[in-house]
Amino acid sequence: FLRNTLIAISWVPVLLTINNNVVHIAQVKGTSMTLNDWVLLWKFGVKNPSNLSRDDIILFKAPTNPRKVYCKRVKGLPFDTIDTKFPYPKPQVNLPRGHIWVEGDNSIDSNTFGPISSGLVIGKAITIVPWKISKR
Amino acid sequence: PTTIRTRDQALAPLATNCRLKELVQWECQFKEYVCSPFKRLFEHCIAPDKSATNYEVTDTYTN
Amino acid sequence: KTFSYAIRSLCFLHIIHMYAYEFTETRGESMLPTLSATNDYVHVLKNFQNGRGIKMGDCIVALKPTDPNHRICKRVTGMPGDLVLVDPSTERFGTYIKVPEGHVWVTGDNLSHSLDSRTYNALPMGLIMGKIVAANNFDKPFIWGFKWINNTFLDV
Repeated sequence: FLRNTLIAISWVPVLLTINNNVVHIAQVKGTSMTLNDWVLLWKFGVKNPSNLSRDDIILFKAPTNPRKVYCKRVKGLPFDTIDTKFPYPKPQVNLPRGHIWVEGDNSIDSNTFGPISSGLVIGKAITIVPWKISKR
Repeated sequence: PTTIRTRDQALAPLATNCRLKELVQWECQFKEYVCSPFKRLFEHCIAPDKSATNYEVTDTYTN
Repeated sequence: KTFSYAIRSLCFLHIIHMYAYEFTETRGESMLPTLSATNDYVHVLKNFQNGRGIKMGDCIVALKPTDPNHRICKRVTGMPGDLVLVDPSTERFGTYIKVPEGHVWVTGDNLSHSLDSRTYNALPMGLIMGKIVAANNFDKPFIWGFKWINNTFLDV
């Protein structure tokens, strides 16, 4: 029994690694999104903006509070020009290198906290686990 | 989006226990590197609810 | 069997790297003279991830906001709600910014050669990977130039 327990424990880091870097299942709360649900999250390489596309649903760390996770849709990729809406202080914004624009389908989003660094992205929603710009 | 404030606007709240703190940074030039210290001064203010706010008071005479 | 052992050990190391401790190389002039430009290796504590427990004057490692494939190491010179000068290095003393909630203001110790908050604005705490507590320099003789990296926010 002891031996089997130890073997089981030795696989825990493997599971954690997969959960952290490849796939994960996450619960989506709130009304800002299509959604509301538990979604399958793809995590590998999602911090790299070239692996994100417009209209992907992503989970990311809230820029205003790193302990919160937001779920929004990617509306703009680096260097896009975005028509903003209230309360963003300027009518248009050019997204800087490494930054994306996120909005809820229905929402506290980039119009409140501005473009976000793609380094804050946690994962991309692939499917529900009972089953889809001024200048580009 | 953040707004730029003037010194008067930024330091107006100063006018809660405050004490002066310093943080030394450097300016290095390649001549080997020669570094000269650049001191920055802050009023470190602790409100009754234990929250701390720093107000930078570095000025012309600090360095 | 060998493969299974290798996978498990690698993942174990990876988890330690993610959550507890990392030993990693740093390069660049931005943290002179605290860290040298080449061959400095830093000891990073990962429980400070997401800025948890980070204080003014700490030295941190974070993802570069404009490029998540690169990492930066900087000094925290402003906490959320603080009023800091945008760039006092040698307008200087009259341009302030209030650090937004959930962000920190970071500058390199070498203000002359550092790309930091003065350019890309405040850094979201979610990008912070950990706190640098010590460094080794392998240019030094074998210990190996070990030094503690201390908090530099001190009473006058």
